[in-house]
Amino acid sequence: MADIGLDDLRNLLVENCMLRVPPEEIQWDTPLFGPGSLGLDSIDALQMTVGIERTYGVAITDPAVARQAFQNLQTLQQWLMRVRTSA
Amino acid sequence: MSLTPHGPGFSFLDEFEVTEPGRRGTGRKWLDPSLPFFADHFPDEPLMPGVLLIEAAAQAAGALWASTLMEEGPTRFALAQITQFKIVEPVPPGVMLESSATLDQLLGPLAQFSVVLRVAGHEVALGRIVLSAPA
Repeated sequence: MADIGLDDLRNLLVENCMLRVPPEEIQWDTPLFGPGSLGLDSIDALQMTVGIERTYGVAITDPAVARQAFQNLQTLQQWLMRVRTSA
Repeated sequence: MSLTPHGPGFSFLDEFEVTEPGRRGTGRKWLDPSLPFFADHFPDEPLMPGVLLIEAAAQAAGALWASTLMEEGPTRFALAQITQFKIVEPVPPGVMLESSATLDQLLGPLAQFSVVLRVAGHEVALGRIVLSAPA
């Protein structure tokens, strides 16, 4: 199974969210939501679920799961690798 | 009972049919030439404003979403995002506008819909929009 890299997930953000910072400034541990974060909101989260389903074939329908997975790109990568391994 | 919470002067659904429960539905609106916006948009060539095509699509999406909720009366959803919207052909007065919505994604109080507007079977506009449900 191919690894999911930082640039893959940066592209996911670029394609699906209204980013206010250049994607190269986003690191693995950059918070996506909340104070001191990229400033994404709930609409960006919805668009992320659309992009993840289109790109990785994994559906997220539970807001609690989205909140856990979307803390930063590291948590998203770990969540994606886990669900793809268990699928 | 009205199909949306809008007053009669801002309703773009005369009727609405759920074709696939919780997933897909289509509404229709007769674009009466006497509708006020046609008088000034434009005086020499009346056309339905693009923003009202988006509104018609949003009302169809709202009627679809409301049909899945166990509530009495129309629910007041808010248009939260116009993800994409393309107007393919101008829409004149005196036609039946058909607005179809398909639920793509639901996450908590937000839902994304694909929307297609047709006149006489021809696509006149299409896109994707997001609605938010009341808290």
